[in-house]
Amino acid sequence: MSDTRQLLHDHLFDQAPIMIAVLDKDFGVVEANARFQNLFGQWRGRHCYEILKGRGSPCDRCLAAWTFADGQVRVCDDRLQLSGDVTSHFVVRVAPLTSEEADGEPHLIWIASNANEAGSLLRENEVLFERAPSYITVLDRDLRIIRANKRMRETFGRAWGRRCYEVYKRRDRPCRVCPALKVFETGEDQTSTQVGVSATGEETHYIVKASALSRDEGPDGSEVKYVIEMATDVTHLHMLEKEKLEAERLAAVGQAVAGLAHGIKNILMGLEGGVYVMESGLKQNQTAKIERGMQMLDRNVQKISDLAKNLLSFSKGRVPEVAMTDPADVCREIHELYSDLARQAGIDLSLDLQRGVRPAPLDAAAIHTCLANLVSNAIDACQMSENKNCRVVLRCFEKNESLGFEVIDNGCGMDYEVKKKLFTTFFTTKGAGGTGLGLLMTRKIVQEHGGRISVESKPGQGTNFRILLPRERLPEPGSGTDNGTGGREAGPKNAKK
Amino acid sequence: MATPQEKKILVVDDEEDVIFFLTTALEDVGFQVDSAMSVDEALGKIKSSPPDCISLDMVMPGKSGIILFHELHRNQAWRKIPVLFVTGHARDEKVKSELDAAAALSQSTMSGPATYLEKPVTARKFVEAVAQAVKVELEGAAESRGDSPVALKEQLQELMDGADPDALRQALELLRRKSGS
Repeated sequence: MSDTRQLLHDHLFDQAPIMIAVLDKDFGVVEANARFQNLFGQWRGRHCYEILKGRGSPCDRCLAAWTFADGQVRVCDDRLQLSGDVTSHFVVRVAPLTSEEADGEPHLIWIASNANEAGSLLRENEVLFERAPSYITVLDRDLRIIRANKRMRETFGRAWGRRCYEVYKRRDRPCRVCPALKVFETGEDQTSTQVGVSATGEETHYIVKASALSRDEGPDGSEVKYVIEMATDVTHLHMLEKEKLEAERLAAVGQAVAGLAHGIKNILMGLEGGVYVMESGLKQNQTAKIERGMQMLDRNVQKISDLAKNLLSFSKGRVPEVAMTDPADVCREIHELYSDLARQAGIDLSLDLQRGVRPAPLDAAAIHTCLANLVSNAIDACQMSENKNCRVVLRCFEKNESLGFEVIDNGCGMDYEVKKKLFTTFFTTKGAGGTGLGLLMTRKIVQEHGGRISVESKPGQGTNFRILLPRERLPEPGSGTDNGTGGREAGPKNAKK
Repeated sequence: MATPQEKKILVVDDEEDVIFFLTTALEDVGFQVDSAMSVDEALGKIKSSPPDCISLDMVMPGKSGIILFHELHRNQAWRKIPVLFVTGHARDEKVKSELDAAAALSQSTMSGPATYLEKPVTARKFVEAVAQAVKVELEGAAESRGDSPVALKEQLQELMDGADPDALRQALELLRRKSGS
């Protein structure tokens, strides 16, 4: 038995996948195993600081010295010098060596396990995973969370062993758009925007990236075994964005209300005039004047009722119905709608559709109204122009991740006064023919799509109206019927390859 | 004092109904009236026969009223013609600054007065303003302004339009005086 122990001991000493040395209190190496010698070279008669650090004197911070002093076991990470001027990473453990035979001369046992780079990286990763200011989870093929980091647990509560959709969204079945399932299926990275519910019940917006973590070699080839989901919380950004859009909308309504005064003033002027002209006709017994006065009253009463109708549609609006729409289709519809009118007026109405403009989540009917307003304005501008060869171009293009529309004409153009009032008032230069609401409506719709409308115009040369809708700010498909429960998923607009 | 019959007024506005209204009001008290629906048409008429006063709309398609005003100002003879702006946009920042600039310009160059009326304007108020600009005494205008209830209403309306605390105080003062008298 004792022989076996001795044998085992000798073998273990030399074969264990660790480096072992025994140090005396002057840090001289008095014993070492074969692995130690293999790795660090000749040790007999040398000190540990010479062998392991290439130094001529003991280290400033010396684990062994502390352990000699207090007898405590110590563990540390250390970078040690291998034979041949290479360094590598180790986990070092020092413990007092007590022996029955020892008679007071203290020794230490020094053990190093070859932690190497992988080991140190592993620890770094551990810190990264646990402390990252993101939600990180590892999912198995059943969508069960097998690991979740600190931030995730703090925000969404107990996660381990539960399904991701239960924890993130309080759903009882997988989400309609599931980046993790897509990764399991394709092996490719997925990114999407999601809305979850935190442990305290708050709506939480996050952009999640899902990647394959490890693969399994099965009989049918390899398949993704685990997926890691890393999510950045964008709730604050989302709120800011929403507040900004809301502020823009309110500003538009405010301007509309301020501008309403102009519309009413003009109508009052008409009514005032009608009454006066009629009275004047009655006094002078002139039938023609009385009739004219009546007509003026009629027209202005009609204007009031038009204004009221338009105002109602402006203030209430309809619930926007957002669906994936091909912008080029809307342009073609507008072209078809106005080509006859343009031809009769001798105006060349053409389409310029850039290739590869992707479908976008739009309220198609509203965008139709927008473009119809602009094209009809452009045709009016051409008719008021002295230019014989008038043309109107409706363009659709993609620029810097924004969807763009342009309506360009070479009609009468606008001077500075007119341009300035375009969007700010119930303003019309068309006399009785305009309500002054068309461009206001147009701008409202553009703003509801998170976009901007701008205009360039020169008197006598023409006008260019441009709408830019940044794709990032477009509404979400189906947002007209949003139930607000947080079970929403972003549409394909966010899925990046 | 001149009579209305000796004075010719040019009414410029892009809306036919407004032209008809203002023309009728002026003709009813005896003025000679001509009209134009755009700045260019107005310039043509001024060239062939300069009027004694111009009633001018500010915001019109094509050229705006202020362009006609500056055009008048460049001409030695036309500079003296009083201009009465009639606009619904008097409170727009830009229009307001243009009106102020026009008023300052006409003062500094000793040319005809440039004043403005805000739409909607009553026939009476409009005609009075024109008469004042061309220095004509109207029949029946002897009735002092402050005494008729209609005039009081108009005065109050004018103050309410300004609607700042100062104007409201003035309006209140006016009513107190009226009720006290």
